[in-house]
This record gives sequence, structure tokens and C-alpha cells, in this order.
Amino acid sequence: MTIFLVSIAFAVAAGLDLWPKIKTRKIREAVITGALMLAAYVILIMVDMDVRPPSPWRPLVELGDVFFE
Amino acid sequence: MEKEKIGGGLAGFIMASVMFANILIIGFYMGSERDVWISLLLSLTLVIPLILIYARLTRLMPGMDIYGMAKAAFGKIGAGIVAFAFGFYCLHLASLTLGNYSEFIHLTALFKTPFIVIALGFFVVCIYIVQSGIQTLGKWSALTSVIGLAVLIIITALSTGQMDFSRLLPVMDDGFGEITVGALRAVPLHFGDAVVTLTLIGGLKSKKSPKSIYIISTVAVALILILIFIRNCTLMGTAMVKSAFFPTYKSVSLIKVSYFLERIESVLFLVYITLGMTKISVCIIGAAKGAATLFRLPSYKAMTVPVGFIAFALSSNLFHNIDQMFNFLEVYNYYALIFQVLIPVALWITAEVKHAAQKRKSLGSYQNEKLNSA
Repeated sequence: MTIFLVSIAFAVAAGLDLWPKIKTRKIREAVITGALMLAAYVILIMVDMDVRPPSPWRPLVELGDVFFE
Repeated sequence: MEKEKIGGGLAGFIMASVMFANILIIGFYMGSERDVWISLLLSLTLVIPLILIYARLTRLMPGMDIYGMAKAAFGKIGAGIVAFAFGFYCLHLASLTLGNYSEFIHLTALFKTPFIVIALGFFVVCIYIVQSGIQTLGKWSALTSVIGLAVLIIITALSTGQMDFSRLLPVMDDGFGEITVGALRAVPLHFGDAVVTLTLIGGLKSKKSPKSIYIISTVAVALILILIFIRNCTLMGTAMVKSAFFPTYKSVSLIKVSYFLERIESVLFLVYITLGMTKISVCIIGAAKGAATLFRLPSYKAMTVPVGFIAFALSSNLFHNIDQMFNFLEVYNYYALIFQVLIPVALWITAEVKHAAQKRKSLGSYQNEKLNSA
């Protein structure tokens, strides 16, 4: 239920942000915005499914654990 | 890229809010138990030169933010690398702060509300602030800093009856080594985050160096932190301060004035949340400007919503649990130095060299002109 509501919020925000860019034909901006939003949504869905994407700082955390122990 | 102007005073408030925001949640993660106040004083001697470098950068390259400075100093490719690295740092810091605040609210007040919903609430307000512009952000930070300071003074005054100053003794029991390590840790963890304000600095109204404003902000933050530490320590004792996840919140929850005033920690939520929003907003602006530089877009505002969404999504992905969140602080001490010290120092050295060369060149041409006219 939570992720459903968050998805709706995501879709509304994406629509509100993308529509003015499409309307004024700022296609490059719209494509970059869409791609970044899609990436954010994929991360969110993966977290909800408990499939955590490999984050760039996870190796840092693990290195820190080894170093400080 | 469009320019938004803010006064030096508002920039000082933003800088103070950014330095101040995280420490309220995570506490004094410095190691030197009851001598943290000495470590904080000592760390000032390390932080002030760093702050002077930030101020000097804005003097050498007026009207530019850190990405513009990188372009002027390192050229297009160097600017691209700096934009990627610094944009990533801002994005990471935004998601870390968003995660810290959402986790704090989730664990202390709204434990049945999903983490993600709390983070979404933060995200919506921060995006509204960012979309309203840097000047609105400055005014917001000034207002929240003043309210925060008033709340801090009132809460500390109310707690004086319960303070036990013997809990601060013996002084320097752990030796000078621990105090020095504590001071070194305080630099990246509590003061160094101020580097993200370099992404806003291009919008300073005055072309004068903001050196004095920066120093006043840093010293004020250090003094307030010392006051908070002394209050926490004298109310709870060092063992409790060290073991509690949110020591400032915990210590305020112990304050009881006679039989009619207690549980005043709820007032702290107001200060925590508003200061946190300032920091998250500044980081989102920094990351959005980085993305706009990287993708060569004319306006950073087009990138604020998608970058904010990524910060929001990452905040729930960063750590499995609160222990991992606090363990990361050890790594952060080293990781943050790249962005807080290395990049600004490299920029500063390059800018000084270029400035000196330019000065020599203009002096040479002036002398030639004089000789010709003679």
C-alpha cells in the first residue's frame, strides 16, 4: 500500500515536472529528467522488494568495517 | 546558468545551519568522552584555515560557484570531473541527511509510519524551498536559526537546576592524544559539510570577501555545540551520552521543571526538522547544479526534482539499520576529506597561481605602456 501511494506521488511529481519541459520543447532537459526519475523509481522499487541495488558506497562501508575492526 | 543573489549575512546563516544540522541528530561522535568541549575548541584552529580557503576562493573568483571555479581553474574536462565528484558528494550528503532525519523521526515519534512516507514529507518541503530560490532558502535559514537559538537558550536555562558539573571532571583524563583525535574527527563530521555552501556562493550580492561572516558563523556554531555538549554531559553523564543514539534529544527529555513542565523534547522536533530541511535543500541545490554543469543545461532548477527524487530513493537504500548508519561515520571521516579539503585546496592553489600570473602580466603591460609613453 505504501509503495502504491509513493508511486502515485512519484507519477504526479514526474508529470508536473516533465509537462512544462515537453510543452516548451526542451526535449534534452525532458529526456534527462525522465531518465533520472526512472532511475530513482527503480531504486525505490528494488528497495521495496528488498533487492538492494549495489550502491557505490557499500564497498566503502565494508572496507571501513575491515579497517576499523 | 542564471544567477540568484543573496546577502553575506544570509550566506552565513545557511553555512551555520549546514554545520549545525547533523550534530543535533547524531551527537558528538568524537571519541574523547568528557573532553569533547576541548576537542571542539581545538578543532576550531583546524577549521578556520579551511573556512579562510573557502572565503579566499570566493574572493579570487567572484560571482562563481564551485563548478564555475573548477571550469576557470581546470578547464572543461577538469570541471566535468569536479562536477561529477562534487555533485555526487552533494547527492550523497542529501540522502544521508534525509535518511538520518527520517530515521530519527521514525524511531522517536512516528514508529508506525513507514520510513519512506516520512522521507517523502521531507522531500516535498525541501523541493518547494529549492524551487523558491536561493534567496528564499537564505531567509528560511535565518528564521529557523534564530528560532533554534532561542529554543536552545530557553531549554538550557530550564535545565540548569538539574545540571551536575562534577560529571565534566576529571578534565583531560584520557590524555591529549584522544582530544586531538576528537578534534580531527570534528572537522569533517561537524564543520566540513559547510563546503556545500560553495555551490551557492556564486550568488553573493557583495564582491567583498565573506571571510568575517564565515568566521563568525563557524565560531558561533562551535560555541553553541560546546554549550549543547556541556548541557548533555551535565544532565546525563558521559556514559549515557556515549551509549544513546540521539543524545541531545535524550538529554532534553530528562528536563523537568518542578511538577508542571516536562516532555519539552517535542519542541526540539521543530528545531531539528527545520534545520535539517535547510541542509537537505542546500545539498539538493549543489547536486542539481552539478548535474546541470555535467549535462550542460542552462538552468539548475530543471534538475532539482529528479536529483531530489534520487536522494529520496537512496535515503531508504543507504543503510539496513541504525547501527550501520552510525558505523558509517567512521568511514565518512576519511571519505569527506576528498571533497571538503582536497578539491577546495587544489582549486585554491590553481587559482592563486593563475591570479599571480595575471597580476604579473598586467603589471608588465603597464610598465611597457609607461616606457613607450616616456
